[in-house]
Amino acid sequence: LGAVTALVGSIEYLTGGSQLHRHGLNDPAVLLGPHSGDHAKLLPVATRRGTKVLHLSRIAAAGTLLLPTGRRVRMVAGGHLAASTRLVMRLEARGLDGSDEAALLVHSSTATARVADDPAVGDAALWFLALQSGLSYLSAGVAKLASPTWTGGEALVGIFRTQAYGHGGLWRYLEARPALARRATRAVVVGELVLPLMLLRRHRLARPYVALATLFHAANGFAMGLGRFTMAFAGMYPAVLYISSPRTDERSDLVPRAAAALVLGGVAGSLATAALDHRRVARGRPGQRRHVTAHGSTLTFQVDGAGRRDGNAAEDGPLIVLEAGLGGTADHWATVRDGLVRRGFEVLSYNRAGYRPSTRSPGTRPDLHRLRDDLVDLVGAAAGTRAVVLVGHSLGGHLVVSAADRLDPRPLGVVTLDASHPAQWDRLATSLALGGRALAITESSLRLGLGAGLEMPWEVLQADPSVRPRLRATHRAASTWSAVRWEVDAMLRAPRMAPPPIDHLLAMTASGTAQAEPTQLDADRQLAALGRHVLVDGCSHLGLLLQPAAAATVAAEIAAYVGERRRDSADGAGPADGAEPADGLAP
Amino acid sequence: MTRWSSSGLRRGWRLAAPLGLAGWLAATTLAQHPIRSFDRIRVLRGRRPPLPDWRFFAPEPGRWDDHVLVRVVEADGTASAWREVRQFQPRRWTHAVYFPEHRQEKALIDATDQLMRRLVGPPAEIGHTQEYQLLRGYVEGVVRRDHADALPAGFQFLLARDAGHDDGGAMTLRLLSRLEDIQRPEAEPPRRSGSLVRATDRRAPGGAGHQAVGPPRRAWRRRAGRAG
Repeated sequence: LGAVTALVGSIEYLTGGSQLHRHGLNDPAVLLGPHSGDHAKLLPVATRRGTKVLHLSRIAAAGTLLLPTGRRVRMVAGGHLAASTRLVMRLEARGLDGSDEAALLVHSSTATARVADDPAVGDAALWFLALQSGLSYLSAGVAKLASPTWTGGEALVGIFRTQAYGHGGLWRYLEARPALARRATRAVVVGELVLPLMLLRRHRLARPYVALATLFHAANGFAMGLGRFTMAFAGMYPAVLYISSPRTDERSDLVPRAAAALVLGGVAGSLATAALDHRRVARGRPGQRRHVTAHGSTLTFQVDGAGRRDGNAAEDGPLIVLEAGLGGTADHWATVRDGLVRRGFEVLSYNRAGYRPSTRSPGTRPDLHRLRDDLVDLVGAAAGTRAVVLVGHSLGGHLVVSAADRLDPRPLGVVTLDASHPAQWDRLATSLALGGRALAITESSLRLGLGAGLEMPWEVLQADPSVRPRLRATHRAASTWSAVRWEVDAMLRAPRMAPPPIDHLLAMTASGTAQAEPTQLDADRQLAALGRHVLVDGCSHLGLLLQPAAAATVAAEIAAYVGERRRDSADGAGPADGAEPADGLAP
Repeated sequence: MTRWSSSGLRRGWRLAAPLGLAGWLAATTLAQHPIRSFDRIRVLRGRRPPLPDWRFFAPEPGRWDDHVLVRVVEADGTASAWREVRQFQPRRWTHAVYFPEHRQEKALIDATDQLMRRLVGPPAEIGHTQEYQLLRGYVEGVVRRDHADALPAGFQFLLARDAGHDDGGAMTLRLLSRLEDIQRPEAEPPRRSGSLVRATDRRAPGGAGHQAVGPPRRAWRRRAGRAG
């Protein structure tokens, strides 16, 4: 069956399926350019002629395996299919699907078994394939549980509606019968979850497993054009039938035991990482202080550059207060903060309630007013009557704008970086309608200690090395995602209204944000209608704080802005004079 | 039994092969988290180990079709109507066993998906990225094939999304390319004009706010003839 898959696959490539040519979607001239890395080693076969020879050789190897030949010949043919499948997958990266992955497993494991005429290795290969078969359905079913589109019963109609994977007739049929469509969608999920469970009773249910799975793939082949899947996955079923036979003393069951041990080892390693992360996050920064707000939030904060003060606040410059965005903490400001401190400014940074070690009182209903009030409370306690400049990133931008008219005295200046805006919140609401469950699953997974598997935003990898470990730990901490969920909930409850422009406001937009979300640029320009707008080149939304060059630019812009505001203030304009109430939160 | 099979190599293989397969299986298991942010294991030191992704159509299934459309631009600035570079094949029963066109369809889906993802990656001049260049080259190939007798001066392409068989569904414009020159071997370095436009609202190409290439701007045709 694996040989038939390879045979058909290579014929498809030779009859127009390949994109490995000039003006193809896997054009070697583009892929093997100066930044191609190890792809360059593949250059000899990345030609039309090389590809033709490669696929003809695969057809020959597949044909050999379909004929009654000796073990050595089969070993060579099978080995060639395994190696060339991997090669084709690297060369034709655009256009691959799950059938190619299944074929790679079949060819690789059977080639491994053929290297030595050893029953133990054969058993290992068959166990490997059988368990991969069960895992394929289990993973597909579990992943579908994460989506309301599947559990709500809308997925099949949506998929069949497409021309790429759908079927016009079936779509129209199901579209007219929503109850049937919902049942069919849920049946797919249940079926994918039940199939692997049948392997637990494989001695009796292996054949029904094979029959049902084959039927499932055949239906997909007809309706979705995924015929290659039928053959590729059927290549694993002989292994399922083999492991379902009664166990004998000769059969080696090393693979399932070793794989289970390795998975448990991986989870244990992740748990250890989670424990270290928890310690690092709970400990916070050295020298931090605490403030309990009127809402009962315990905020940890730190004032840097304080050594320069002589205690006479009236003669000091303003206190610059940094407010992070969704998922952000005081550590995210490290580079900007250092840039400001080096210029002689005194800077306050803190973790909002919920971002450890800051905490909020238990059972607090999600409400952005509380975050704003906490900020006002903290600034009042830390600055007193001293002039302050509020700086906020993303959601923090919205909060500082909202807090500006609540401070007494009014802030000397307000700076926003990619500030959250109403259109963004509308998109958030739309996306959460589809993927809102993802936040809860992420938090739960982190509580289970699976944080080691979580990808880091690329910006974190570029951040100041002194805070990088804490940034990683913060991103992998369940408490962070709990706080994110609370704040997202609060954002969705808040009224959608744009704050009015504030006099002298400085708004900065990341060029990456402007490119990906042009509405951000419009919103920032509107926000800075009575002030100044700056586009920061070469950085992303998070990169405004974490990319060293961008963060240095941000610090320089803030420093220049504070200088201007102090001069204006000395000339008699007064801090944020004329600012209208800017509460985008007030009902 | 071969000579080597009775040696130490045979014993080593007897242990190494099952352990290697067990490791592959364990890594595959750990790479199936329902939320794809937990896919860190799929990229190790910049390389992608061959770990199958069994999360088919999950968690969110694709419920829209992505389309690539192109219009050619003559030297005097006149632009043709938008045409789809490749249309999806109507489903036939033979696709259950043999479907070479699906490779091309899937490659185009992957290429457009990667380009859109690149927009939210590390900032770069998107026109210089590999993802853009691949798609640009593909579209140029289509233009060259369709206008082999008289090549136009340039072309422009756009990415759009619709609801497939649901003809009443609105079209969403996702990305409008800059104006691209047809590359000629003896030509000077390509002269490009305009810039990329990212659209997030639902509107037909050619509407307000989009890059003007030159008259005449013809009506949008959703079922334009296949050009590839």
